[in-house]
Amino acid sequence: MGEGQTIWEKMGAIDRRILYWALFISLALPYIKPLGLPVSIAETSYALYNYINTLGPNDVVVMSIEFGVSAWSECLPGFVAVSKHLVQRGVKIIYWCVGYTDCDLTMEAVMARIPQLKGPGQPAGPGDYKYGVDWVYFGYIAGGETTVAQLADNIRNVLRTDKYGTPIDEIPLMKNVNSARDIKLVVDSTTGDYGDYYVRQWRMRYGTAVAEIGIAMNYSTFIPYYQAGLAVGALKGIRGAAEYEKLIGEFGEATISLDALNISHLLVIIAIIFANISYFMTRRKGGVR
Amino acid sequence: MSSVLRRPEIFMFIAGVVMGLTLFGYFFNVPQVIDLVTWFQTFATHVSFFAVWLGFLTAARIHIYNIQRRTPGVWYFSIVMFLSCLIPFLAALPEIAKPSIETPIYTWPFNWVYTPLGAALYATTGFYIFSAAYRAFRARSLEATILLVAGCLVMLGNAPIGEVIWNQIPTINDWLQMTGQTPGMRALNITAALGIVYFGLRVAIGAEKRVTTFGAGGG
Amino acid sequence: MNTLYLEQILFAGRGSSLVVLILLVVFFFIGLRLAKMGRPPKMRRLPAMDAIDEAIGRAAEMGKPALYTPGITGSLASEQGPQMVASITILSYVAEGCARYDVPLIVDFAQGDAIPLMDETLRLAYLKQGKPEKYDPKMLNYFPGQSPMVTGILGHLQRLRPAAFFMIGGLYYESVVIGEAANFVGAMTIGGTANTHQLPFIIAVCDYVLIGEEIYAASAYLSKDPYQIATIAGEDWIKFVLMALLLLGFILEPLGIKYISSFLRW
Repeated sequence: MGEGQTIWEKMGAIDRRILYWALFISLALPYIKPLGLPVSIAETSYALYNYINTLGPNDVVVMSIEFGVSAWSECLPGFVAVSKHLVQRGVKIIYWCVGYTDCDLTMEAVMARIPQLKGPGQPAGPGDYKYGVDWVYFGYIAGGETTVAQLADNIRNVLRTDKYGTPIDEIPLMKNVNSARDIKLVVDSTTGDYGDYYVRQWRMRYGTAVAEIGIAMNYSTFIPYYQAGLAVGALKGIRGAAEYEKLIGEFGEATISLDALNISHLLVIIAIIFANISYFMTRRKGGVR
Repeated sequence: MSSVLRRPEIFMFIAGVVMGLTLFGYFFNVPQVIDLVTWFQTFATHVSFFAVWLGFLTAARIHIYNIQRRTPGVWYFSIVMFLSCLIPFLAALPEIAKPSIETPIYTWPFNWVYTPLGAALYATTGFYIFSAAYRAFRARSLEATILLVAGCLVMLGNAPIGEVIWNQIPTINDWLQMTGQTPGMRALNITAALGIVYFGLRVAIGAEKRVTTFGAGGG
Repeated sequence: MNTLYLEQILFAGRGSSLVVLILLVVFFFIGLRLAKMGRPPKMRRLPAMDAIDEAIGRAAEMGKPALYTPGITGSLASEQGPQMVASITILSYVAEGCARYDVPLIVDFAQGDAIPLMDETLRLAYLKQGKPEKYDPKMLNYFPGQSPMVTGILGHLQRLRPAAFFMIGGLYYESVVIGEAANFVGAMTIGGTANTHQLPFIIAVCDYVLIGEEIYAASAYLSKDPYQIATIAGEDWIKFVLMALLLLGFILEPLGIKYISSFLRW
């Protein structure tokens, strides 16, 4: 900030480290004093919830982990909330990942948050999800959209064993599951374009229902599919996850994170207002921009 | 012989045949063609895996140079780079024939060094968005003002605090996201798709000279 | 293979796409024919492409390097591959400019299978400017993944302080991080992507932006070659056809006439 600058000019060219500290502190504040504001439910969250309510123990759903550890804060709570809903409904679940090599860590995190999901060899009591019978995990599958298309055509052409080396034909859940025709819903949780892949390769070709639990940024790119009837629902980032937690009645990480969302969004808006005041005051005084 | 193999026409011919068959396989249910296209796709996936080696060699060329010349400020990082490639590689050698390598010295750095570092980097995005918004969102013109107001309303609508400020914010936010932005997003998607198809056609017929003259320089 | 047989083996729901594709090809060749007859269409200005020369000139004046990244697109064979190839066509132009004005060029990328194409493209660009000896393969910096590439670019931006920064291609979250970092070091930034979810961020952090399809038309635009520009004309004609279809559907569907929707579902 040079000599002779007005207060408005200084405000317009504020050192970004001040902005970063302001954001850091405001993100930390809600953890000391939670706000606990109410949240309303968006139409797309309701739509996904209602669709899953039509499913039952004879249906199979694919949960596609298309986010890395880096996006846990935004994608994992929604992914867990939808998984919990599927467990409540008794729906069979297939987990796999086409995009991120660190998906094993994500699967571990999902299992840690849903105690009913029992791993291979773990005893399953009443109400638990027995591995191989009620749910299965195939790990990372390379190949992007090509693989998504091949999985739609014939799962056995791509997958020979599950993540733990069990041949696919020895997994009871997979007995009658061969292609996209045998899947009632694909829920794709993504930070990128994977929702598009499933719409193109599963919904358009086989009519399989598709839903997305994306980062908030992806919501706007996925909405055209929802409006065209090509998707049965979508969750908008951490807010969508909090809405879903409210819908299933199990409040979790998303609800806790909402305070940080509130404060950070408000801070950004206040900063933008300040920046614009500075801009107009500088322009009025004939400052150069 | 090598100059014949490097002729642009050969690359164009291969690209044209693969493109034609792939399109045919997409539209028509002819199992033989679909099998061939699947083989092309598998082949391309394998090529991209081998390309990681090519990437390593390209990176190694720069890092060997740095180490040899003791490039100030970076040469010791180049040594770290080589060690972080070499140690897991040697540790994984005994398990190379297995379908997946689970040696801790191979998986531990990935799970507990590489992955958290990536996550930390991703987490910085919020800070960069904040400073970018502060710098860029200014009401310089009518269009910029409309964008600014719409952006603020969507942000408020995305956070529950918006409803506390004014209970109509979620309605406005829904309208902006479901109705306001959807036509624009559709138009962008459609035109980008058309752009890809036309670009592909230009490559196939050799009109995209900057890439289809690949190899024409000889040598 | 007669028409009836083709109709029998046609996948359901893809007929309309096939018709549009055939129309695209027909328009494409009509555009070519018109160009050969000496009637090439006019092309609107793309300010971001015009700014490339300005950015390179700025780097030359300041005696600083230019940094280019085509982003991350998985592999050339993936659905994002065309973005990488389109980016390499623009890189070729940038490299020619850098060679002409002796501006050091650094290319940071994360896609192994694009290395031969990039290497050859850069070599040819320097050859075209009569300076093949100036091309050094060490200009190409490969990083094995998205986060390593972001870190590498941030490092290059901080250490080398380039005067011009280009990020054109398949961009994801890195666009806002590296774009803002480039702004922080005072580089003139030119961005572009067909990834619609990243466009708002690129528009916020860059001085000039190529939006969506513009990155695919860039090479033809830069060449000023009527033959190449003509190939883009067909793209506009098909847009008119699609707009007409939309309009017809908008009018006919409420009247209960379902020809358009039946065609689109064919």
